[in-house]
Amino acid sequence: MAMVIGLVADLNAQTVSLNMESGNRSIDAANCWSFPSVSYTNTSSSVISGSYTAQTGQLSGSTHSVISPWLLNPSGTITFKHRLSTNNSATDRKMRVISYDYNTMQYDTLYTYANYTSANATTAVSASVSINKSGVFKLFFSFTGTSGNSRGLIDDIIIPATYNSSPANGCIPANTATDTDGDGVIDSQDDYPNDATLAFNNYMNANYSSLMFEDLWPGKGDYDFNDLVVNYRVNRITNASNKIAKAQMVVVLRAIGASYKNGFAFQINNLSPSKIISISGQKLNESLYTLSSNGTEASQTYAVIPVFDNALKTIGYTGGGSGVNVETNGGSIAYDSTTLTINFDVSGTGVSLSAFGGSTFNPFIVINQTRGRELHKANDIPTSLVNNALFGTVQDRSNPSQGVYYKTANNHPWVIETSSSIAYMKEKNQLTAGYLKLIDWVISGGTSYTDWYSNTSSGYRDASKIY
Amino acid sequence: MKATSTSFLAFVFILGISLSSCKRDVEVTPNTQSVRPANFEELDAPSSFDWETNKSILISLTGYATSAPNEQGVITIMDENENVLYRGFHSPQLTFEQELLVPQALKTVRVKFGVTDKLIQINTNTVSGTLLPVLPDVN
Repeated sequence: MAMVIGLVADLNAQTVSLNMESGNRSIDAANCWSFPSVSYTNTSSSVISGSYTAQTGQLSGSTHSVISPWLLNPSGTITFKHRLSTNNSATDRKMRVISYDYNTMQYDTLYTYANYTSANATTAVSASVSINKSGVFKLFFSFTGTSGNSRGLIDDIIIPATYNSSPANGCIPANTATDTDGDGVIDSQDDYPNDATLAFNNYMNANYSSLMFEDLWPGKGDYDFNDLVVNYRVNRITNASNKIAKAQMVVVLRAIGASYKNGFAFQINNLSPSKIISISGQKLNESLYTLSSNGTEASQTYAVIPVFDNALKTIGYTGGGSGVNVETNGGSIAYDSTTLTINFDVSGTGVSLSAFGGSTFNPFIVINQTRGRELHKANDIPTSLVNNALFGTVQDRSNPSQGVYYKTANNHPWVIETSSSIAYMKEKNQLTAGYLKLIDWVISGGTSYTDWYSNTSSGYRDASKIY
Repeated sequence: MKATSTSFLAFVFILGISLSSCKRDVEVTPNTQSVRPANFEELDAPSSFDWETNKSILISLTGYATSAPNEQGVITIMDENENVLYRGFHSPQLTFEQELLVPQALKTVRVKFGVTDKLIQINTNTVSGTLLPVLPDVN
């Protein structure tokens, strides 16, 4: 009868153990064991059992420990094996087991072994240590010594306790962190700790990007790429299921080096318009776009979000002629900032960061209020409302069947985007005249001078040509 | 006869020049300009050049066996300047895979998950590794 009770007790007992047989401290460290000045060895003369044993550095003045994860209510008998690597300075060495209380921050020495001698130092000691504590604790299995080159060895640690660490949250004690909105993301990690529908900011671009357009497409322009200049940054806010719940896009209209009334929009390639619930913040003063009820453009295969429909009106330019913020001897107008908020449908598979990411983000302008005359970056696909008859005309050498769009016969684009904000060109000054390494970047096939737009060292820019 | 011979010689002369011109045109192909272009008018970009200052990278990090299999934690990917490229929830025993658009010049990313905080090189647009921490060597 006693044996049956004992057996039941063993089946119900919880233990936390470490036998080093992973052979990789990193795996055990990921599960919240710590190894200050301790490694794993598989040298046969050092291994206590199995293939691997934990081994300290040379015990010459510092403490070397194997530290357990956080444990709940350790109670019973701790067992482990320990010895030294050699008998060098054996009597100088001590081995201790020390508990640390999470709540009181108090240490308690549970076991001290000071009996290493030159005769017994390399013979493994099978230790049994009683513990009876309530609460959350760590255990330190520590070796100390003041001089000499012998090392501590320890193996087969078994602790009667419940594992109580949180490996995925930096190994803090489990169930101690606050999650105010109950979305599963602890407050310290949650960008929106009081909103269960939002969790993480995910900026598509780390800094504002610049988009610079030549708007005479399909005809060539003057290569100053300042007919329309905008900066933009997109924050895709995901929930605890990593689905995009909301996106916030800031578009800063900086310059208009032309007289055309251009609109700016973007398409999310391959995304159904129905995945968007609503859009707010658009600046629409003309009848250029026909919108669906959710704010996306109607009659589109993919989601198309208009931002503004007339750059000149958006920036508040009421004068005649052309040129806003591109001539240094002309007047300047304050940049215009537009903030869009886009709400996404998170049901079902929702919208992933890949579905609305840098490779699917497809910005474009609509030239001079002619809806079918839309201009995208080189090789970006047009929307459903493009006038396909414009491809291959004037200087455009698009070949849609080959996936080639918006390039000239010399493979020039009409749009330049930089991954960080840059100063744009003064009117009638080619981009190559201001950014002196752009040509070298191009002829290298993009392998050299990848910083042509961001490097301000000598030889990279001619500031006299840059606005 | 004399006039005919002269005309014939002139024809041959002109033909020779024309053929030489054609031969010269065929030799000048895009991507092999021997003189550095000075401006856009002189620039032939490689046909495959996409003018992108960003690149798409695929991050693939193997998970590990965990003592808390039902847990999830936040994984953060940053660039060399600690700008956050990605934040999301992840289970440690699963492989983490994510495509990100980053500047062309970016050479390493920093990965933070659980107790792991390490730099990983970008090799031909892939970042491969594990979610395990890197521990210092012990002498």
